[in-house]
Amino acid sequence: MKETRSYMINRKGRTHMPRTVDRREVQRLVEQGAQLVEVLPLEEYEEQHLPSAVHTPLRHIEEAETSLDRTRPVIVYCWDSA
Amino acid sequence: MYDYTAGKLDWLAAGLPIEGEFAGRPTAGSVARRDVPTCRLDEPIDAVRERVRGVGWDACVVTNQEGVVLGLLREQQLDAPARETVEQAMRPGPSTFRPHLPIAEMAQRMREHDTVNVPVTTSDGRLVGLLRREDAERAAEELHRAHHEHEEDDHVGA
Repeated sequence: MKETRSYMINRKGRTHMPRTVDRREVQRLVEQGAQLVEVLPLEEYEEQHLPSAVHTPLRHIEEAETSLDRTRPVIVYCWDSA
Repeated sequence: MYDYTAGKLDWLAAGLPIEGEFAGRPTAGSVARRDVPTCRLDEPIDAVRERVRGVGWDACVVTNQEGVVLGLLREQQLDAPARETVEQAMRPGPSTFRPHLPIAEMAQRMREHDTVNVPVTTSDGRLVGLLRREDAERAAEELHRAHHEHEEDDHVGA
């Protein structure tokens, strides 16, 4: 997810560093109400995605932030770490 | 904001549930037999042999206390001399496959390599079950038949 990390750092001149989490933390956060966002192409999302995940193309993630619940943590994911 | 850097592949490889079009499709993990007998390295092979065959199996997966796969006992290994331990008799470090792999792909691979059975494990090596070739081929055939019937229905309705 290098593109996302770079985007987050440069957005509006402020530094936003997403915290890396593993799948156990993902499960824990989701249980506590976190929102999952898949940034892969829509076709791949429709084939299979994490339970309750919504879809947002990476290039639209800034717009998506306005539609997500800001009171709940957001977890973004891609296919793998490559 | 959090970044699940290991991503969807990590989730799938761990055998965790998914949603979407592929959710109901048979995979290595869904077809693998979870009731496969397991044993430990230090067990006597004759005791394991008796236990395994007593429940109608011809294979046993060797795991540690955390359920990580260490080896495999197939028919030939189960027939090892009684004085041997599981560790001495087993096939160490068997090839393993992840739960999310499509069953058609698994069936073809097992046919090509003439493999009787393979352990299915999570990405951290924990046993999910044993995939038998006959089960993989049957599931792949059923999937193919269902897909073919669906295509025929679409054609008739057109």
